[in-house]
Amino acid sequence: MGKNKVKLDFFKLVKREIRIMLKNFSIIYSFSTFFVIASLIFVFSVNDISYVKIFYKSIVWIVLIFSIMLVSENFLNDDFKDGSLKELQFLGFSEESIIVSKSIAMWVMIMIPMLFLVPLVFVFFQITLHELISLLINLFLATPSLTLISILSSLFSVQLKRNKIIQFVIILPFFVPMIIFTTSTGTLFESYNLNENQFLILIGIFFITLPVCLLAGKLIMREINK
Amino acid sequence: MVLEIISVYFRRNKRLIFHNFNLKLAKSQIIILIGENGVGKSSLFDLSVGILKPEKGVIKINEIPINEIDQKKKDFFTYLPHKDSLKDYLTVEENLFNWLELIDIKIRKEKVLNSLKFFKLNNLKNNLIGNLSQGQRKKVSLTKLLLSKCNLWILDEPFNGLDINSINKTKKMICNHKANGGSVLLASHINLNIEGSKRIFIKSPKLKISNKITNFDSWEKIK
Amino acid sequence: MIFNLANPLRFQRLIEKIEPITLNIAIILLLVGLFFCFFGSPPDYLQGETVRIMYIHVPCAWFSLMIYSIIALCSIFSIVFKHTLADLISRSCAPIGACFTLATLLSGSIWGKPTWGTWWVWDARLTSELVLLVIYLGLIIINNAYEDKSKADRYSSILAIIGIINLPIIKWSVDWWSTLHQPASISKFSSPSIDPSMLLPLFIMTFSFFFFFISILLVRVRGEIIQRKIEVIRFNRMV
Repeated sequence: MGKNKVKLDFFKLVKREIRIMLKNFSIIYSFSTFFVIASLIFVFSVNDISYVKIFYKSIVWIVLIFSIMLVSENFLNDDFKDGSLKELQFLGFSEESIIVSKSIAMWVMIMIPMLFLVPLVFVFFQITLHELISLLINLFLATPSLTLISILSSLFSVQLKRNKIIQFVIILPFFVPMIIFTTSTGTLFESYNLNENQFLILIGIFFITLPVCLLAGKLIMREINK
Repeated sequence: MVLEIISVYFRRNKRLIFHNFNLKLAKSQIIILIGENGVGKSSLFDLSVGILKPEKGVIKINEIPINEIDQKKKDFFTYLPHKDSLKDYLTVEENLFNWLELIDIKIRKEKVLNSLKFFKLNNLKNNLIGNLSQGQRKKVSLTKLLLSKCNLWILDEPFNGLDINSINKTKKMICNHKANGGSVLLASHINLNIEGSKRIFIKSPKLKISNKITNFDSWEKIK
Repeated sequence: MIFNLANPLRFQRLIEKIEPITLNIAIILLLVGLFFCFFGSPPDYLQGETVRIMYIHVPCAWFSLMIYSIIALCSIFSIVFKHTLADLISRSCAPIGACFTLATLLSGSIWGKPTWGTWWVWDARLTSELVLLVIYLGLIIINNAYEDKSKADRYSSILAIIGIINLPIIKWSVDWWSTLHQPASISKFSSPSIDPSMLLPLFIMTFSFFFFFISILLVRVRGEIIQRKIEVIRFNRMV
């Protein structure tokens, strides 16, 4: 009974978050637009398309990370400002379920639409179909952990009144392993020879990120109202 | 006792704001906490709903210690904090339905619309919250009280930004709740009165006691 | 016993006694160690005189990891027990750790130029050490970002706990991936693959660095305690 109740609560939270996100469509729209435009700016700045072809993964990843962090900051800050984060807490929802439901909502509403935009961007980048598919799987597997980490980072900065840039400084190092494993194209880290295991490693990273983010997020959420 | 706060010590920003604080709220009783800004009224509410933890002392709702209630907190009290947790980009109606779903109450739409009539908000029901004035926002969050089925209401500054007419309506609502056996704990920084209510003036505790030098060491805090 | 010492005021009195001793030991050991480094040990048959960088590089690297583990332990302690002294220690450790990490990276890159022919390679150990430096910087920044110090302590201890993940990666990166950086030569369980004449100065330097670290740490902790005292006094006077 108790377990069932927790489950129901959890789905209710996810549903609620998604419903709220749907109303706030501008955030999805601006994220997608930012993603497309920022990737294109790389193309314009490089001039020679052959370089873009080599670095396509890195470009997408850097743009993705920054846009995710911008969005998540917005996302949680709103909740903190209007008190709904606090409301969820005093109504008795556990911190873990709040964090996970927010991440799921963010993943479904922001990351999945983004995946549909990726092929559009890559018309401009002129990469092969095979590369595109591998990139899509790559993004699909890595975005859950990216979302979790960025939610955590915005939790860190939610109480800061000034100098919000800190969240980027403190949390960016934790993106390093993911960037290394996802973008390793065989040039920089040739000795690792990861290409076959890349997807498995991404899944592995997710299962490391999840408990760590839940634990840290729970600790932060308890501090947040003090 | 609906709400019991027993010898609570609480410290915020090194400042001991509650020093052996006691409060008892019985059935069909209204307690108004009156105090200056920064005296810790909102902290007291956060303490009593379990968001903050006291350094020492027990808080009970319906005879159950607050930290032992989990998952079912929403059936015990309705708390309207200072931040109203209304989403700017949702309409009045959507906000209310979202809230109702969170606290597991299923009410027909007509009833919700009826309760909006209490504060004459029914023609604003499709407006976005972001377009409403401060007072109208407050009214929307006070409408939640009409829909809730909880016995205990905890209201943080419910009269802020309301006009005289709505203040009287709210007072009437609170009195009605009391007559039906409910209890209300509310805070105010102005000296207001509601019929049949008990008023408690909060002052910050004597600072000489609260801030001895050794107190900066948390290990030597009152245990 | 630990809790007895854990009172900051008592700890401060203890520091005042210990601190000059440790500093003296550090200086003496440093002088002896430097003598052995330059005159008492032979040059390497492959690397020549540059091997002497090792006597700085290796202890610094060890301490960069050790200080982080101290911070992590204190953070766990401070989250579980909400203890001021743990906060003070982790707060004062962060800049020291950052300095040791920076020294490791700098001396390593100076060493790398003659042996590998480049100042920097993107190999697993170097990368993870660099990440450690960035985490240290994050800790320092977060310690100073919040007006309320106790809040800053909470957040930085949470960050430190997340950062623990990096420690095993640094430690075993040379074993997990085939890197340019050589694997550990000195291990507790097997006989070291390093000549005793080189081992001696290395250990002397390590101990010297250890005492140096302790004395700096104690000075910083005392500073922090005094600062908090001032805050309390000012606070008392204000109210």
